[in-house]
Amino acid sequence: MSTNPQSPVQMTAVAAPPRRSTTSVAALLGLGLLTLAGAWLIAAPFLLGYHGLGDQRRGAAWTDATRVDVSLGAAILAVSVAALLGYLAAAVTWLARYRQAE
Amino acid sequence: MSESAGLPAYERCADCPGAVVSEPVPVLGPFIGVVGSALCGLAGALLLLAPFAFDYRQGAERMPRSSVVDLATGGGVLLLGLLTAALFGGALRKRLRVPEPVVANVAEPEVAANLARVPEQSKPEPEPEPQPVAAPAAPVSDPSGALRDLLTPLVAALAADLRARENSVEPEGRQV
Repeated sequence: MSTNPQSPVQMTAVAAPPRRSTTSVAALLGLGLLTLAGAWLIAAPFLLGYHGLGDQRRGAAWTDATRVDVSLGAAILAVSVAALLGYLAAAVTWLARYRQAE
Repeated sequence: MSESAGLPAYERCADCPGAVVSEPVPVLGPFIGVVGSALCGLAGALLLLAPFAFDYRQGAERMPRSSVVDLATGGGVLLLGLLTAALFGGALRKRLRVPEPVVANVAEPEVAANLARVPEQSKPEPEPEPQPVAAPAAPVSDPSGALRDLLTPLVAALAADLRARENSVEPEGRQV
């Protein structure tokens, strides 16, 4: 279908040129740091030499502190990774939908 | 990320090539970020409470190292989660701002001429007997032209749509 040169309506859009958002980049960096914090929480009971009363000892049953650290660390790691992947998937989907011509 | 935080871009309408429509603003990503970082902040708050809730100290004189790690990491995760949620919220707020409206310029003079004749054509002809039905037709001949300004983009868009449909039907010779 050819475009009519005498189109009755000429719609013009006045929009600012797109610029990269530093806020989104900083927020994604924060999610990455949260991922690292979750990984650190999982590893901390085993990496640090817990020698006090109630601390985790090598080969012993997990203490309450170790259970809490590992479970919350895994939760933080999973949520932050899921948020990162979700953000990436949403961005890629939007680009595939509206930026195919470029 | 190539998503822009400024005003949304515009694209051609598939059904009416003479007009452009605005693209939807990508808001799903920042929304996921807000939810995820808020959940991480809650986990950090739980980490801050865990040494006291589960009594890691167990009567010891000094606070155990696991408590120190939990308090430090929990505070960091809480602050980082709140900060990240605020950043994602700021990005989401930027993208949800109302974009500037698309300005419509009527280029074809006949459309404007037809539009100018609309109030005259719709004006009821004088009749010998006054009818009460003719009274609501008074706002059509609005001297201020507010109604004309209101109807101008609508009539222009309708004309563009009809023109596009005619162009698509004629070469193929069949109805769409």
